[in-house]
Amino acid sequence: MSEPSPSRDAEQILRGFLARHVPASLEREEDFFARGYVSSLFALQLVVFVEKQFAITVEPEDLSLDNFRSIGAMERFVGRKRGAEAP
Amino acid sequence: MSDALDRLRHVLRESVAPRVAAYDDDGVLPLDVVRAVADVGGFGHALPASVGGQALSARELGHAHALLGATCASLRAVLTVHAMTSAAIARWGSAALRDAWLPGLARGERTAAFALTEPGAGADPSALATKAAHAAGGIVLNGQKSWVTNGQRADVFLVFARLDAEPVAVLVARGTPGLSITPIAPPLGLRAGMHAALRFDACVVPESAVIGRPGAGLSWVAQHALDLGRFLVAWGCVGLTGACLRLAQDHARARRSGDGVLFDHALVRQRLARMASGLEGSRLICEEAARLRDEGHPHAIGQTLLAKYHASLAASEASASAVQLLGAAGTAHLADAQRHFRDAKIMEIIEGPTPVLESELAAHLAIWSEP
Repeated sequence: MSEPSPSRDAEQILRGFLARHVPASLEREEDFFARGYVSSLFALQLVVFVEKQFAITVEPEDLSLDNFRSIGAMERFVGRKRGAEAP
Repeated sequence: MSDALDRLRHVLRESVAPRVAAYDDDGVLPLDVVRAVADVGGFGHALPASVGGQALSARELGHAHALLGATCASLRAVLTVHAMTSAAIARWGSAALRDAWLPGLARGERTAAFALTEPGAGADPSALATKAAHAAGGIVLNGQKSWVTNGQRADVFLVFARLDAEPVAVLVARGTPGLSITPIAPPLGLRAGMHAALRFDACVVPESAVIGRPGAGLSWVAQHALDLGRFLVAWGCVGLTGACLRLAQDHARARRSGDGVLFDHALVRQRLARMASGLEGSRLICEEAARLRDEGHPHAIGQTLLAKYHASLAASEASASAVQLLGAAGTAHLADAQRHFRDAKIMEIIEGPTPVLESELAAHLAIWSEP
């Protein structure tokens, strides 16, 4: 039932990691791949990052840019994975 | 360090070093060399113990490839593509694919190759044109691959294609109808890398042969494998650079010149200092990449890119210096220095050519400044 605060934390963590790669003014739903801020190699970095940071396991079926293309997309993805993996 | 490294060091010293110059000249990696490395677990270095692998840490794996790189770059390259495909299966393959392939790959009873490059798609894999389509019985492949290291011998290939425009990675076993394999004559360097060209003519594989999922072929499956490949090439360059420095030192200390030896000349010392500094820089960047990989840190990927970039340039420069200092002896037929020189040039091309790595390494500099 406790909702938005963990999500806001996730947004801050994601923005912290992204700071090296995208402008700070990036909108929550802005597609940073489509905007050309990052290369295809960055998609792999994002997988490694969310796995370590949020203690989730990215499965082969999760490998879609739709899960990684924006801060909002990654937040929702992490939320789903944590919900699914919670005991 | 670990027993696995001691066993590898022994095989390299006893079975590889005495023969590498001759078999490099022939352009054929002897099968008994492959078996000797398999017998000490070399093909399973990067795989988990649960499938019979040696489960080396990134650091140990790096040191293993430095030993390999100092002795035989072709053997190192064969083990690298084997490790890349094995890692892709282990990380993104289904349980059925992992069970079917990994135990044999870990023992080296079967070997693997990585088939990304095409006649029209090299440094930019997004240009890949091999076509995959859904068909009766699975997925049908049509197209060509080139420069497939270990392609002459591999039992299984990780092949990248486009399925309805989406990049897809599929495992194709040797002997699959429609797959033809043509040896490529030994190139400038990595002459014993057993390179081949592949051709797919209505080659059908089951849907279950997909690694990852359609769409993930390049960004995740290929990049995961290439990241490991860059790490192993970088460490191989550390070994190669060290071997060149030793050759140059030995020569400079022994070679008479005027009233003394070559080492007395300031310009010779300058060359040796540059080689030593290049080597130490490569080693430290590679050690940091290994540390970050062992931590599972996302910056490991960028650090690995930097490691490959720096180490391949340092290897190129050091091998050119070794040939220069050794003079005619360094250029001679079967001389180690000229083999390292030829191999080092290839290191600047495989797993990301220098200009492509520079472009990648500079990308975040558009946004980011060091605080």
